Amino acid sequence: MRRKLSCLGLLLLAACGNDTKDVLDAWREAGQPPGEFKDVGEKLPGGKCFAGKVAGLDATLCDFKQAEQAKKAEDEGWALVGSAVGSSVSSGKVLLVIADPRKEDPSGRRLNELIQTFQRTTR
Amino acid sequence: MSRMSLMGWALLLALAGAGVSEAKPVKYAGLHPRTGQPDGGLCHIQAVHSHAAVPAHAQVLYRQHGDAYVFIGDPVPFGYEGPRHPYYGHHPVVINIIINVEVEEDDVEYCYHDGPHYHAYEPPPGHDFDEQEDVHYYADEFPEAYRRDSPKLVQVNVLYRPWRYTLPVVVKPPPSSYRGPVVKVNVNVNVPAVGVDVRVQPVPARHEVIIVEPRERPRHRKHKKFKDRD
Repeated sequence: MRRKLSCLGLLLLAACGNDTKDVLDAWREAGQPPGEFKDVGEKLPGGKCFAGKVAGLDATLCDFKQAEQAKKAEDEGWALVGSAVGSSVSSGKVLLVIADPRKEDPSGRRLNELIQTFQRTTR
Repeated sequence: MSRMSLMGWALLLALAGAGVSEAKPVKYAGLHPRTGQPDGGLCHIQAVHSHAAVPAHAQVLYRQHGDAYVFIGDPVPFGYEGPRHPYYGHHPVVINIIINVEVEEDDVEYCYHDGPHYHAYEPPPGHDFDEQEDVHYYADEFPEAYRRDSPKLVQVNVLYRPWRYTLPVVVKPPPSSYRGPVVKVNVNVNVPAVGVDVRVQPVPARHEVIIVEPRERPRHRKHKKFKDRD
């Protein structure tokens, strides 16, 4: 049920990739419940992407078919981060682009925890 | 409006756009001071991440790994609360280890903090360190690259000097295996803030008053010879 809730905003639960679902669940279990993550298609070329908010930060998760594709897409992920504090980091076949455009996490602690949970889940 | 003036406006807009995009995000890797001043605190993001500006005191507090700035200084004055690893004097720092990235060849840089200080990272494997009073001392030769960069990078000590924070307590002189600069340590750790008599300029209360005294070693003559060759 918990896992289903992570993709509640999607009318098609199956559309949410397994790895993405695992990351959203892991964030929730770590005390950082994500909001609604919407299907944003190929926001990064070759990826199946979902975007939403978690702990007040903007996050995009993209599933790729291969780890190399996810790694390669990091560069385009940096463009999504823009001038905000953020990161574009791949782990396994998943790419996380996370940014703090509203400066809600000045110490970077939340952002760091979210990235580390993402890396542990997708490694 | 003529075609020429339209083209002129388009060119101006394009140039203005280019100007805006010049404020390129700057990449960092690992924990680092947010503003370069103790009251600015730390950014705790370990992964490669971006900020809008280059770091303050980039030349002495940071080294570059690829296109990312890596902070290698003592994080304690900035409010660091994690595990502290005490060191004494200059020593190698393996950048790829502290930011946890795999590389074919280690990216070795040097820390130029004089005397006792802390780091968030342990001594790197594959480098000789001796431990005394729970403090790590580098126990091997320093390469030419270390000596070459020293005049610029020892400035890190000037930067830290006014900052009040707790340093590792060192009572004994460094072990003989240590070959970096030696500082005199005031073993009375309860030195009052007022009335500390320092030769050059007043130093706020720290646990010791530091006067750098590079050890004279035959190796130095070799160094000059190398320098002349360059």
